[in-house]
Amino acid sequence: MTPFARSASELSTAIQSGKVRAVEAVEESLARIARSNEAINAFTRVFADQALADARRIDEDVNAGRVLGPLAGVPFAVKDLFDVKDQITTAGSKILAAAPPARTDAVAVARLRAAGAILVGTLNMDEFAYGFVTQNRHFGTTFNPHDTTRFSGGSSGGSAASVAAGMVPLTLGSDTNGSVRVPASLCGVFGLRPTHDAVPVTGTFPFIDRLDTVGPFARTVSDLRTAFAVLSGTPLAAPSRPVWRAARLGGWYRDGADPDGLAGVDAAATALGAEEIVNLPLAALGRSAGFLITAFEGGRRHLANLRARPMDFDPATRDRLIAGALLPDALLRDAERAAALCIAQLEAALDRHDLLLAPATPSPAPRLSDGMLQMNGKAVPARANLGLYAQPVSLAGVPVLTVPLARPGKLPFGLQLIAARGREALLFDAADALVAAGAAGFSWPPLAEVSA
Amino acid sequence: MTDSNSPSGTGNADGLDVGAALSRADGLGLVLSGEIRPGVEANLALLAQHYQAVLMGLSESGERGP
Repeated sequence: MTPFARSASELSTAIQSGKVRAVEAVEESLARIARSNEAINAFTRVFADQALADARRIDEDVNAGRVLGPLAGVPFAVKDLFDVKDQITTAGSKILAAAPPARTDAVAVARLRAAGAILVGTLNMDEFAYGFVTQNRHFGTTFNPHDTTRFSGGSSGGSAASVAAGMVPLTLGSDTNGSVRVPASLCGVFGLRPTHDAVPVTGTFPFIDRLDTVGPFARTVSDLRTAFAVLSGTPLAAPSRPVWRAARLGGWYRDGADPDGLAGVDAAATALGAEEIVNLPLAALGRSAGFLITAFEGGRRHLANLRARPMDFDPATRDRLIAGALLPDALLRDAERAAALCIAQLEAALDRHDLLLAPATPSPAPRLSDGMLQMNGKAVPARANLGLYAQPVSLAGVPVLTVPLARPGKLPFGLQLIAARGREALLFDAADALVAAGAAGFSWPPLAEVSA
Repeated sequence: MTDSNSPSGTGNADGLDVGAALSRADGLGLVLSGEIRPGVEANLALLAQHYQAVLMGLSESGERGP
């Protein structure tokens, strides 16, 4: 078995038992990046020399019989908004290209390294994380490994695509309005938006403070469990099979969704005993409130550079940020009141149900050529609509795990598993149950060329 | 439109006046060149739709008068 047919957890176990050397794992990762990145464009920088040096140290520790962390020897990569010591954090923008290098790692990066993981590079994103498509004027488009004529999703597109293509078994992304969940859905990997504040965002380039989260992508639930424990500094949640009260979200969360994708959601719901459909009539209001809050606060965050160097922005980002900067303060107060209503409704539903299920995106990955997706028989812009089902949930700060539904021979389509704040362990258990039932799981894209 | 569209404004039950919002650019030191302005206008129009939806939602919920 090559190192990358193994999950991160399996790989670390093999390295710590001496069956695989960390150097082999990193070399395999670097070789896969070299083979696939031209087609996918997930990586923006590769730290080959440093990663190999780190791997040699791990191998020395193994040989010396030292106790290592749960991710010892596992190659990982991060969205290019995480500080990496001595590297410039670009946040996907030319604006920051001449910024001073980071003095220290972001907390999330430091925690993964302390657990033995080896950083191999940085990953592409929408500029300043404002988008769902990972089409970036400065760093190019990240293509979907399952079909390179299609979107990878965003804004953490490089993070999802690199895991799907087998370049690394573990990555970090960020999710403000859906930027982990959308690319996880389109690329067919597991992705976690943790409870707001569960994982420190210290050392990441911010977008919207009240909504920003950082979370991991992986090919297995087990890897997300391990990564979340490391990232949050909490004990590893052992798998269990609790009794849960689960329901599907209806209304806004089904209207216009791809019928075949919805069939997968319903099969997953059956596997979890989620026959009831719950309507949250204020979801549309929450979407609008989140859209406005994001534009307003994003515009103000970038106002100085929008004044001084507007032509250095990606035009798609710039025009949205300027529009946001022009909004009056009164609008924010109205949007916040609307958001509070939406949050209260979702929290009430989570008082009655442990788990809520919803599609992560309206459709599988749309084609890049026309940039449109189908909703209710109409073509609508993908850029503006990929986050429809992710954005309203973001306001409440609750954890959401995106699970790739089992769709043999079809493009990936993700399911959102939603729980109350602090209940990540329940999400992992539910995802395990879906995999065990055959309703979900990662599938290699043809491009990955994995040999077992 | 009666929307003040000023930083200290009290908002407007009719929604967002795109023209008034654009007029704030000078005061904020933003230059809307010919290349930039159409994209900003389009995004403001989208934001105006969302603001209208928010105002309607607040009105329906009794949070704000029409």
